[in-house]
Amino acid sequence: MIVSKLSKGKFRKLTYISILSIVIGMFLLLLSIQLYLDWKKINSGNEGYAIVNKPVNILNTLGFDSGFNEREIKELESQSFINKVGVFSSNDFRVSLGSNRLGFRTEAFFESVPDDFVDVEYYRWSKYEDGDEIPIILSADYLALYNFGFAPSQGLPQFTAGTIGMVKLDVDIFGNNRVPGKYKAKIIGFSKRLNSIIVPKSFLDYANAKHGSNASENVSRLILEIENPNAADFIEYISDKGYELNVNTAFGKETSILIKRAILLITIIGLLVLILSVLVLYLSYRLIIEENVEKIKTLYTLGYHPKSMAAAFSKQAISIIVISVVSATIILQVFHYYIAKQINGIGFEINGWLHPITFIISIVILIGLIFLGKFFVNKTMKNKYV
Amino acid sequence: MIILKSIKPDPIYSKPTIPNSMIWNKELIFEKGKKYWVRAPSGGGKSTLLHIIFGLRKDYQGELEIEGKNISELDSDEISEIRKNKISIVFQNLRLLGELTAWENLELARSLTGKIQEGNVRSMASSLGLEDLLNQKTETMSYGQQQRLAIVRALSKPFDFLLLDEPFSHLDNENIRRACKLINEKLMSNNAGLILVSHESTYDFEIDGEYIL
Repeated sequence: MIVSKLSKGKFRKLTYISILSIVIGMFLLLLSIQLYLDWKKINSGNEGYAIVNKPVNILNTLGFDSGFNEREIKELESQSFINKVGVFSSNDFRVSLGSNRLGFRTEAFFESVPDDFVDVEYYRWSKYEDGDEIPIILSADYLALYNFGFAPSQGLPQFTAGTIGMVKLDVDIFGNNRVPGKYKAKIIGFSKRLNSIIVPKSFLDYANAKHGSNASENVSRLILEIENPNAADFIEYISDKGYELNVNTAFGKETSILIKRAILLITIIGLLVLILSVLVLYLSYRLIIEENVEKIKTLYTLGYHPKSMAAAFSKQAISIIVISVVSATIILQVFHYYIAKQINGIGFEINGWLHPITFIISIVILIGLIFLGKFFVNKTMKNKYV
Repeated sequence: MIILKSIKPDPIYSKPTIPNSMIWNKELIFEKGKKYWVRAPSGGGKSTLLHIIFGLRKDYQGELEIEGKNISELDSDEISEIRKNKISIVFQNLRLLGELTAWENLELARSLTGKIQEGNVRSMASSLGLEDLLNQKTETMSYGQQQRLAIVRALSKPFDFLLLDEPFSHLDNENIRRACKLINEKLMSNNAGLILVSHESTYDFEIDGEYIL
């Protein structure tokens, strides 16, 4: 009651300005944190991995193999900057993929890598047994190609990363002079690390043995687990060997730097706005308390405790802070939900909910601002009642 | 009981802010349930005495005890507690909140403890002819009306001592009579003491003790 009786007129305007500026500052700050976390998630999975192959030359065109031999693979494994080497296996048969329900069919290929190189949840990546549905992982780029290239040209529906998993695919295998086969398959995820159509190695081994020509395997590509794909010694080694390097990232190096800088800029602006808004809040309270010194003294003479008067002011300041921070978080959640929907439509997979770290930071800032608000009010109230 | 022992100006203050005419170095005792009249000519230190008792001034030496507690040793919260429950005052300059209505001023005092019922406060206001002014902003009221309001405000919370600093200076005889009647009733029901500061008269109070400054 006391504070509401004292805080009239221009103080109310200052209160609204404080709320608005804290909302804007908090929104920008939390947005930058969430953007950074989203960007990291989109970019994750391919950090520390690189794919190498030998350059294609005229001999390959004439039918000669250009794959890696065992000695070359062992040499790669022995390098200190390479943790692990995985071999890409490919199908030794012709294969077509399609859906009768959707009315499309396309020639395709399968590749596989050792299971520990796969960047989708492991529980969705089961060992293949005869009669199972084949789990397929597509490159994340393929979804964008399908949605914005293939689907519109063929009159097919577009899919999100989530909905495409509901489509059952028919796989027809035409053996190389051996038995054909029919299988069911399902796309279980999109990889940012593996730029291919990946099936479990257990299935490919099984299918190559059943439908293939039993020709010796040509290892055309290798996936490397490395500490740092941009390390100078690694790049130099690959270059010396004449291999081609494909470090598959969701964003290019320059784009990544740009995104990082943009996020940093938003963080700085958000912090500045937040600091200014807290300053406005502090000045508002200083103003109201300074303007009401005589009234506060009168209340003190009536028997009001200085601490209870400070507490009344603090309570109002805390209400303003809580309303502002909660509003900013809710607005960001709604904003992020729609942004996530858009981003998921182009093949990336980010959660519509804010990252727990964003929530935690929001709570930490809220607690910090509450303490700051109380400190400001107590500091200003000190000795005003004497 | 309120006891002032050897009160005199503090030499660390450069200006003699306490009037020289005060009766320094004497012992003043005010007992609960009794009425005292402190009189002095204008500028004689009457208000200063009340302000010292109420804890508003600290520029003195000597001891002030309220119910056995040395007031200089109390912190601001303990002083607030005394003002909230033990001592009520009508200031000479009233100290009402002009932007608030008459009722809001009364409610500020009443709601401090909630021990006095709202109906009682309204009834006290009516007995001093303020019933139609309760929703009026205090700053628009005449000084006499404000003086009556300040009296009702002082009675709207519990007290063991009531300090009155020239409380009726702007009241006509009829209003003084009504105010004295109301104050006497409250003093009796609270078994409270009265310290009346006035250079004119004791009005309708039956005085038990008198100090001349």
